[in-house]
Amino acid sequence: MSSTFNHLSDEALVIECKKDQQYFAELVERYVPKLTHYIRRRSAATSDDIDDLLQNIFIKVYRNINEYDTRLLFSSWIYRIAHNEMIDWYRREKRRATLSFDDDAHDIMSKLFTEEDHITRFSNEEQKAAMVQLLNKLDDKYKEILLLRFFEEKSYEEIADILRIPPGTVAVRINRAKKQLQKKLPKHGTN
Amino acid sequence: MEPISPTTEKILTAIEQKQVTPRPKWYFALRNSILWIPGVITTVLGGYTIAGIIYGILHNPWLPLAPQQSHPMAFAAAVPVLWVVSFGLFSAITISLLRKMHRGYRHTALQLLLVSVACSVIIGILFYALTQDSLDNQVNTYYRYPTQHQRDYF
Repeated sequence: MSSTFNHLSDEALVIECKKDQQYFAELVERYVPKLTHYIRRRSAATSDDIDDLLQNIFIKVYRNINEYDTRLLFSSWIYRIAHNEMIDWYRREKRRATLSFDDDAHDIMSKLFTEEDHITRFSNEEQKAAMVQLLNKLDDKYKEILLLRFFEEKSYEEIADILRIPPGTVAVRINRAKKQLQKKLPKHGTN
Repeated sequence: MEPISPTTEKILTAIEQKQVTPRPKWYFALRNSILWIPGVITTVLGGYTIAGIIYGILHNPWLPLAPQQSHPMAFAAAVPVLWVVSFGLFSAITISLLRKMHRGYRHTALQLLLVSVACSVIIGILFYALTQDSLDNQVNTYYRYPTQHQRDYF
């Protein structure tokens, strides 16, 4: 299906899907893998939970498709819906946001820090677990923002639209989160 | 047509089974206007309180009696506290409404406060200029008599 609609942007698909559900199917197809990764990284949800969450997200997207403002990126809008759905899910399940990563430890470190940060790179599974534990000790607002910036690779503007906060606040929170992590991580020569 | 993934299939079937249909555009337009209407009302009320503040300061009958008129306390004592408090309240409501409006979240509280105050000041000056006589009747009753704080000072 993808190749038929490859030339169309998400925003164009939204306009077309109001007339033909085929286009909505393409949107679903495009975003299922991205949102599955996002949900998996943000929670310790089971596959069944993920399926339910995805279903709820896309039902909301379809029901509120006329609310979408084409001046915003569609991806920001759908991530906003996913973000809210996750919060509802935490509430229903009485859980706290828990990050989990399939990526290896080196990937997590290289995404969060540059060479200039002088942080010792982790390589084995044990160290990766320690790193994930450190990330999970951060406040929920910091966890979420690091996930969106470094793992979902969203721009500051997109994060601002997803979390509904000013872009300046996004920058401040990313800095604070990284500083909090840096304090807890071993520096070159100290490990 | 190329095949779709089982997850997509499941989602589309769920939408069909639950008979989900897109909400009409007017529903969202109405919802937005529900936010706009109180926003406009609180801004206008904020403007009205600004007119009250201007009136309170310019028509303060005991300000010339102040022992040291240049002293900042003389001005502070002349500020109509009740109007200022009301203005603060209306501005806070306007800011919280602006935050919920389209892209309002992109601006800091300070930016929204400045916009809200600027609108209220413009409306307030207009109000003051246009309704000075009516303000005379409404405000003078309160300002004819100094408050305990003002009496202590003057």
